[in-house]
Amino acid sequence: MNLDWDELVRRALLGTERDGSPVSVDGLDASDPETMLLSAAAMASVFRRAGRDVRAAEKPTASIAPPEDKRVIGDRAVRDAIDLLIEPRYRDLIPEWLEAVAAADLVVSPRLLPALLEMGRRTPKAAARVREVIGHRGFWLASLNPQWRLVVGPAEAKAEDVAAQWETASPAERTLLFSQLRATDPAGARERIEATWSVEAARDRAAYIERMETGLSMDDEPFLEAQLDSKSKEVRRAAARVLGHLPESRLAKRMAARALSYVHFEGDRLDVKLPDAVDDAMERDGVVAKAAGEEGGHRAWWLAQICAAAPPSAFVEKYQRSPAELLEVAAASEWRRTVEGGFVTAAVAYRDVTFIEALIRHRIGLGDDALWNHLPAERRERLFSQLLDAARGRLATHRVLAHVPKIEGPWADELSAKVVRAVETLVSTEDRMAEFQARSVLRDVGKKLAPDAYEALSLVYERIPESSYWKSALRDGVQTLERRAAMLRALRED
Amino acid sequence: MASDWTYERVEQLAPDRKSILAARELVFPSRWPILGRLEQLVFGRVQRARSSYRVTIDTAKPAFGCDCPSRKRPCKHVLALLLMMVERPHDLTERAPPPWVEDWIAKELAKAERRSQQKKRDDDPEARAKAEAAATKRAEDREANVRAGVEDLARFLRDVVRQGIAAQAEHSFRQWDEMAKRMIDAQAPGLAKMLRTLGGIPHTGEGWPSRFLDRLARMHLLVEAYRRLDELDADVAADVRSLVGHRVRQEDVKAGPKLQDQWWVLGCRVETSENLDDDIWTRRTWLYGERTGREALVLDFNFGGPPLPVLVPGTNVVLSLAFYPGSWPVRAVIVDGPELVTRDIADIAAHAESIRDSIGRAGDVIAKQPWATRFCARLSNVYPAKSDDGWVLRGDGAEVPVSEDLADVWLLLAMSGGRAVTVFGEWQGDAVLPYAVVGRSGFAALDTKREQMR
Repeated sequence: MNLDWDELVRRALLGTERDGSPVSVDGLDASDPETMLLSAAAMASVFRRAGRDVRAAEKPTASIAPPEDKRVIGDRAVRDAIDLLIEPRYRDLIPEWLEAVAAADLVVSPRLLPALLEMGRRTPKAAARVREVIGHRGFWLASLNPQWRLVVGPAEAKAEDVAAQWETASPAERTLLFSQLRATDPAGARERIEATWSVEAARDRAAYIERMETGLSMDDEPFLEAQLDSKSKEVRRAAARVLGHLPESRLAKRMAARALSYVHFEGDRLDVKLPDAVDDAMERDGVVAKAAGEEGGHRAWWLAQICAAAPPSAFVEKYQRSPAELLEVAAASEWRRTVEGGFVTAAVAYRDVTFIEALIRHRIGLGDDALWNHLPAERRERLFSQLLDAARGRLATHRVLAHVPKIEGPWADELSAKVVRAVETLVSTEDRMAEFQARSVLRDVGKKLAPDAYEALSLVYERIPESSYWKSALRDGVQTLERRAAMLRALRED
Repeated sequence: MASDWTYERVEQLAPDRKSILAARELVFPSRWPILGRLEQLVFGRVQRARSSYRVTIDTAKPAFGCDCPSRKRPCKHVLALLLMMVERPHDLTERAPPPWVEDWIAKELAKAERRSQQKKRDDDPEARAKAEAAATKRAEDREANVRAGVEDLARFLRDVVRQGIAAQAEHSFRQWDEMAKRMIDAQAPGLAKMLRTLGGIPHTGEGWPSRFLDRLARMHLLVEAYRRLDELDADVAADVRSLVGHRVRQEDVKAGPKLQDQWWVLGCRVETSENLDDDIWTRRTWLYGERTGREALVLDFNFGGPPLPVLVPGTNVVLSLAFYPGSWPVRAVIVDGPELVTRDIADIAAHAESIRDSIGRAGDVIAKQPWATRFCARLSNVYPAKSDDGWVLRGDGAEVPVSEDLADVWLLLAMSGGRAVTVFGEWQGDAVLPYAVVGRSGFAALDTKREQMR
């Protein structure tokens, strides 16, 4: 018989005990049927494997990445990137490096593409930067992996796409689409829901109103003011909340009038009257008379609500005094918490940047970082810079430097120089400061200083005596800065 | 000479990526209170927090010395000093070395002296004769033991086909495990390993009978070959002994004939043991000799973690190798080297062939050594593409699947961009397991060692 593999398998499955005729192969001699079968299989196995042929390719579907228009980064830069991607503590430095690559009009080497696309997938915030540096090959590669489609796909929904999906979407999906549409076409979004308002359930109405915070402007005011008369408490509350973001709205003006009637700044003194009751107009504007399940009057609480809903700029206008002055007067009064607390809430709601800055200065040293988040980035840097200028002595400097984590880097040269000087002040003595997270703040400093500040910072570092606590506290920061400077230099030179 | 050193060379010496990163932290003049050089010597004292270590390097040999307690060699302090030498040469001033440098030089000389003394003792004829006699007796006993075990195994295999292999699907693994233990007792660990693999096949799903018979038959072939050991060629006999589990000592291999050549390091891969009992990690590195056209496979082992890399994929090195005996001698051990040669990586692509030729070459090997299962694949002008079942490599009208064992196909795709590249790897049955890829975008090793980027 010939050495047919399938036949041999069949016989092996059956077993020689049950098989009628033993296997016989020309030239193969064996004492028993088992050995015969095994030897035949051994020969057939070798023939099969040694004589294997390859399968022919199907129609070649060429999917080729387009050639790059931009230059690729050099080898030194590739090594830097690998270091950044492997070590967890260098992850924060990646955005700066990506930006530098994009700014130099370069694209990354293909070797880095899988790691960067993965990073873009896991950290959606980084996706935009990743897109800028992966080049045509990166987009080609991402198109092959469904998991990476989100990284290279469009970030915002286009108005036409949303319009198309609106008709067939469920209520929950529609609120999501509404949010997306508000980002690109707020008026169009509002008009859409106005058209079908009468048939929407109260719950959905409230949901839409809340989402009108995106793309909010005075154009929305008439609609929202009308919702204050809605039969549904949920809808009224939502409308009042959103109107509380528009300082020019009628609600804001009403609240301002109320606040001004109860809170008077008389020279250096604060004169406060409490409201006697919550009338219908106040309730319409969102003042809550009674917290659920509680009894009795809460006149101080009503005042707090009013202060929190009145644009602080109303006080500035009426009394023709700066926010700083007003805050100083309020600080000296027994009503400080209510009034200042109200100012904080209202300044954030109405995005009164001037007032927010004044609050930050006023409350510095209270460890209250949250207000910084509500300043736009450039103003944060400016404020920080001004605070550094004003700080006298180590204690004051340390208080200002504690805010470093809130100030996004990389910093401009001028600010960097100031920070280096501030650090110098800080490290100039022996004692540590218990509450000050020196090591992490200084490491942050190393991540955010302009790379050109390396020389200055390393001089400060050199001068610290070995035995000082500050030597080890500053080391990470200096090394991080050196690494950044070296990486950016490598991108320029290659 | 200090001028021969480059960043790549230092990186190549590092036992792992973490060492290089740790060394980077020390490449600051402020860390080195003492720093200097004299001719080929480079030395320094590195200070970190409360500890300081003395580092001496002879850049010509090269030889390294550091008194830190780390067991990694070269340690991060040595690497840091080398990096200082490469990147900040002006910081190393020429000066008289401190006394501990002289001490280190003296110690190195003493070490070399001791090594030559040991060699002289090994050459003493009487001592050697006695040792050899004892070894021969041991070997004879062992042979008898193995032969007995092999007879038992032959009987066992016959029983399996008498019953019919269909019965295997119901049988438990125990009979295989017991037979494997019997082989261990018979001093034939290679057979034991094969039995365990074989015993697991009936539970691997569709198509198992064909796979099972294939392996069973091969085992039978090995048994028959062992019975006829004296009739076989020396090379084939060596194969058979090695497969059965007779270990060849590395020193014996190193003592045999050596082959020096300039080798391209094609790629490497780290694998863990299939056996859950032992924690052996293996690093497989494939080499290609430029002048001789020889393929070589270097294996490094370690317990509990990946073995330290000695050869860096994508580099060209002068190496002296000694090969283990067999009819297809690829497994080799390094006798001398490596010495790095600066080359254009594009040259590596010249040593590849078409898919058909590569398969044909593997077929030739099987004809000589029928138990071989893993062959070096050097494929030129292939491009990755998607097929219905997964990823394939296509070239010259032929196509082969990419093995599922490849952890990260994306790096392969990124480096190729859909265009033809050269792929180095291994044949695993019908599929190719790529180790590295080289093309217009350069060279990239594909296996995911911890040190490489994931």
